[in-house]
Amino acid sequence: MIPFDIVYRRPETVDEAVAAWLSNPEASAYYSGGTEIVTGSRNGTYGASALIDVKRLPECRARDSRRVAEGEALYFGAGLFLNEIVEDGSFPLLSATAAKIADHSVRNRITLGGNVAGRLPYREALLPFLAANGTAHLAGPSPAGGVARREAPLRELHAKRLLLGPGEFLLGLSVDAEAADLPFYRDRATSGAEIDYPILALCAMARSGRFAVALSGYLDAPAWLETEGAPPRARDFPEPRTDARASGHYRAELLGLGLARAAEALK
Amino acid sequence: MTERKGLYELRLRVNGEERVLAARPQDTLLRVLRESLGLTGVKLGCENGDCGVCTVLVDAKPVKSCMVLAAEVEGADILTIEGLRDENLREAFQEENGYQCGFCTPGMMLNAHALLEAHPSPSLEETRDWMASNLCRCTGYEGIARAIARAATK
Repeated sequence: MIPFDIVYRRPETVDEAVAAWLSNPEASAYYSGGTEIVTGSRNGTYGASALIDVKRLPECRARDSRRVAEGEALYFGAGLFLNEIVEDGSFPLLSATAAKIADHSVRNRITLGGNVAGRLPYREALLPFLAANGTAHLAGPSPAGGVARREAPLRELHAKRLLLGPGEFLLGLSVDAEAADLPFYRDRATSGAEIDYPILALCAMARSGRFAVALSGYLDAPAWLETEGAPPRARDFPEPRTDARASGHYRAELLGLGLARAAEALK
Repeated sequence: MTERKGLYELRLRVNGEERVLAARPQDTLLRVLRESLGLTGVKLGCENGDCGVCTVLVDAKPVKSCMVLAAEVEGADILTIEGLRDENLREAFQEENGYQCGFCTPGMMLNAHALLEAHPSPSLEETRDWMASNLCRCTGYEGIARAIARAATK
């Protein structure tokens, strides 16, 4: 139970969602699967008292192929539950990554958008989109009134967290169809039990002689690098974090191994 | 737009019955099932989504009811252990000693039931993937895995 009074709103449209946020910007938060907000509200790390449940919006439930300027793109709504993405399989790196987040029952509630835009530093569902140079689809209040929608390259939008404007929220993520079909390598290590936050999660792809690697658990937020000719080396990334789960030295060793395996798998 | 504020009339479909009760928007499904509807087979454990003793089925999918607001699942089909009619699974848990103290058993059985509905002959890997959502401090899990395998053959 959330130990304080809240207002719960479930809009039918993006316009209603933005209007709900504008009606009380200081207290409002967009709500998706709720796993992070409900537990965080209970333990005192989360305080929004007006929750706007956007996971059922049609744009957030969509999973489709669409034409974009660069060709064909696969679109994944932010309200899709992780198990739906696992079962979808149209972006195999995303499905394989999502399958290792939390446990099976919790994946029936965690949404793509909640994982990517949440406060926890891991956000593993982001990694395939960073590696594949995906696009974020956003909506929020327009300065001129009404709703503004925009698309932004995820690599530019993500700097430790998604750089969203006031009242803006994630409708979905897309990736070009060609990237979704590329060979990939992924690896994930925890400090003990398989169901735990990663001390290193790694997603790698290769395309036209370029290697893209995205990481989680290694730094204090997901990170990515793209290199020409050969995969990046562990020392190309900033110094890893040290915490109760693992030392920075251990993380660096794991990353070196993971990158060597990625290079072998993708050569 | 649906808005829930203060004390409101919550309509839930639980174990095949329409239930109407007073709830607040901050109430989790776990609290409503236990405290308003008296369905105490839904156990309260960690309230952090880790242990799985509060597992119920929402539209046939196992979820941890401590992490779900009741307001979110208006209109959904909710199944608790009180409404589960799966004699094969119940017998298999008995025959294979799939429980000891019994505290985790309602969540285990609901998750196992959903697994068998989705995968009538689950591989051991599928069984482990699904059942890792539920913790048991007594049995060591082998009896539970055997019970599910046995139920799959009935």
